[in-house]
Amino acid sequence: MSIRSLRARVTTWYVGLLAAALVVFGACLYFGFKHYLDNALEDALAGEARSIAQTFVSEVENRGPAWLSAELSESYPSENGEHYIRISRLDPGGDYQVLYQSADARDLSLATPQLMTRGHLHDPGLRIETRNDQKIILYSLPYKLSSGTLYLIETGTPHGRVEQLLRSLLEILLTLTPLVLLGAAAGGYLMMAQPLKPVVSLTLQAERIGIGELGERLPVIRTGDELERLSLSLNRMISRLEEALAHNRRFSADVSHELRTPLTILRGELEHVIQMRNAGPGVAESVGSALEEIERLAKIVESLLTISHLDSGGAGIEFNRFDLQELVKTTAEQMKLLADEKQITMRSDSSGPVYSFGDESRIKQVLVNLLDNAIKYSREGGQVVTSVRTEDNNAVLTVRDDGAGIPSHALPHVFERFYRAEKARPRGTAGAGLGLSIVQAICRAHGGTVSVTSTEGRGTTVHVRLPGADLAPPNMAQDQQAVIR
Amino acid sequence: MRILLVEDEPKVAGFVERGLSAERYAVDVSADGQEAWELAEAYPYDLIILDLMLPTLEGKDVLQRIRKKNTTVPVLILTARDTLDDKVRLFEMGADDYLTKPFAFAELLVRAKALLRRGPVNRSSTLRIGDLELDRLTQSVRRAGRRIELTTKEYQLLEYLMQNAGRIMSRNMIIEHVWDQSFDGFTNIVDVYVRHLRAKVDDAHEFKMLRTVRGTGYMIRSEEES
Repeated sequence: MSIRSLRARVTTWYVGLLAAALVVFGACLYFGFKHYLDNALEDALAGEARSIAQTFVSEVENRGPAWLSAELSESYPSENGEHYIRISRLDPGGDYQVLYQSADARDLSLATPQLMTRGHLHDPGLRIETRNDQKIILYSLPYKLSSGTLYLIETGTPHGRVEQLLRSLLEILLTLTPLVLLGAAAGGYLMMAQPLKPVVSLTLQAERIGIGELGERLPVIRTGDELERLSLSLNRMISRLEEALAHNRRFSADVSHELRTPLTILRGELEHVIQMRNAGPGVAESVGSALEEIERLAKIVESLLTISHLDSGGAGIEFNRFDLQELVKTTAEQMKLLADEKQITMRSDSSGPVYSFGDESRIKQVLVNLLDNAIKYSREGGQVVTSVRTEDNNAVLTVRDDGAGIPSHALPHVFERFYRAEKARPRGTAGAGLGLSIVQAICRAHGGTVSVTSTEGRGTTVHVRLPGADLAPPNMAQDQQAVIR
Repeated sequence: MRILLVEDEPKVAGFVERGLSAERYAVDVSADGQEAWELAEAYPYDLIILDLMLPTLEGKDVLQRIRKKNTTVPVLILTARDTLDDKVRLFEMGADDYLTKPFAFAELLVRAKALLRRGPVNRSSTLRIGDLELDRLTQSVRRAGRRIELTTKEYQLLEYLMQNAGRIMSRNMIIEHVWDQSFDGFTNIVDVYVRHLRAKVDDAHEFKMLRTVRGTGYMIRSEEES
C-alpha cells in the first residue's frame, strides 16, 4: 500500500482527521470529568463541614469538648482511613487548640495554625496536603459562635480516588482511540476499494490499448458519477487520437504517392539528358549527381510508405513458419563482402534451428538493416556477432557489434524517423535515418519488439523478439558455433 | 512492334514515348481509360503499358476488359502504389509485370523487351563480350584466355550484366535479380560487389569493361561498343 495510491491517501487523511477529532473529544471529556469530580468532592466536603458546624460545634460551648468528641466519633466512625475531621478553636491569645480530630487526622501534619494566622480564617476553602506521598484534599470552614469564639472545621478525604478515576478514564481513552482509529482505517481502506474498482479496471484496459489497438474502447462505468464521465472522456480522447493518427498515416501515404509521379518525371527527363550524344562530360556529371539524389528521394518515399503501411495494421504481411537461424546464416553470407571490406569478422552463435512465425522477406529486411548498421558503425577489424535462440516461446535475435556505440542521450531516439545520433553522418552512408524505423515497424507488425542497448566506445547490441513457432526437435539442438568465412 | 502506352501524366508519357521510339518501337499514347480500351480493342498491340490511375475508366477496369477480350497481349502495369495486396490482385487480374514509380527508364525497357520476347533471352551456354567469356555450364569466367576466380555472388552479378551487355542496369534491377528485395534499402552492397568484380575483371587490362553510369547504374560493354 503505497502512499501514492489514491485509496491510501484518502484513508490516511480520513484517519488523521478522525484522530484529531478523537484527541479533542478525549481532552474535553477528561478535563470536564476532572472538573466535575473536583466540584463534587468540594461540595461533599463543604456540606459535611457545614453540617458538623451546625449540628455539633454550635453546641460545644454548652456541652463541652468531651461531648463533641464522643458525638463526632460516633457519627463519623473512621474505619477505612479515608475520612478526616478536625475541629480546632482559636483562642484569643492567637493559639489554637484542637478539640477533636479523627484517628487518621492525627498524623497529618496539617498546617492549621499557619492558616489561621495568615488571615484566611474568614474564607472557607480547599487545599491539598501531602502525606506519605498521598495527596489529601482538605476543606476548612471557619465558624464563629455567638460568643465570638472562632472555630475551624476541617473535613478531608484522600485525593487518590479521584485520581484513580481519572487514570482509568485516561486508560480507556488511550486504548480505545487507537483501536477506533485502526478499525476506521481498515474499514475506510476496504470501503474505498469498491468505488475505486472501476478505476483499476479502467487503468488496466487503458494500459492494454496500444497504438495498434486504438480501435478498442475502454469499458464505460455506468455509475452516473465522476467516474462515468471520466471513462467517457477517456474514450472520446482515444477517438481523437485515433483520428489524428489515421490522419497522420493517410498524410504520409498520400505525400509518398504524390511525390512519386514528379520523381518519375524528373528521373525520366534526366536520364534522357544523360543519353544525349552532345552532352558534355560536365553535364553528365551534374545530371548523374542529380539522379543519385532522386534515387535517394525515391528510397525515402518508399521507406516512408512502407512504414505507414506496416503501422496501419501490417497490410500485406504473409505469415509462415520459417527457420530464423537459417535466414540469419544465409543473409550474413550474402553480406559478407561488406564486412570483408573493413576486415570485420562476422560470427554467429546459435544452437540449431529456431522457428519463428512471420514474413520471411520482411524479417530478412530487418536482418539486412541491422547487419548493415552493425558493419557500418564497426571499426576496421572489429567483429559482428549474431545469435539466435528460443526464449519463452519467442524467437530472439541479437546483433552485437564492438563499434563506436551510441551516446546514451541518443539511445531513446534511435527508432524515430530521420533521427541521427550524430549530425554529420559517416561518408558513403546514404541512409536517411529510416533503417531502424523500418526495423521497428516490421517487428511491431509481427507482434514482436526490438530494443537497443549500447555503451559508448564499447559497441551496440540490438535485440529482436519475434513470436516463435514450435520448438525445434530436441535431437537437432546440438551446439554449434560457426564462423562465416 | 507496336506498343500502347496508357498514362495520363503527359510528362511521364512524354519521356517513355521518346525512349521507346528511340528503340524503334511504334508507340500510341492515350491519357484516358475509355479511349485506351477502345484503342486496345481496335488494334492488335504487341504490348500494353498501363498506368493504374486514369480518368473515365480506371486502369484496373481497362485491364479486366482487355483480359476478357484478348488473353495473350502482355500488359505491364505502372503504378504509384506498391502494397503487396495490390500486386497480388493485379497478377490475378492478368497483369504480366509490374513497375512502381519512380522507375528507371532502363528498367522499363528491360521489362518491356522481356515481355515482347525479344529481350535478353540469350540462354546459350557461353556469353561472350569482347575478350571476356562466361561459360554457364562450368560457371567459369575467362578474360583474354586467363581464368578469373569468382565467388557465387560475383558470378551471378557478372552473368546478369553480360546478359544485358551494352545496357545500363540500375542498382534496383541488380538487387532484384542477384539478391532479393530485402536488400532494397540503403545498403551499398551492389557498389561493393561491383568494385570487387571490377578488380578481378578489369584491373589487369587496359580496357575497362565495367562502367559506372553515375546516378543510373552499371553496364558492361566491349571495346567496340564504347
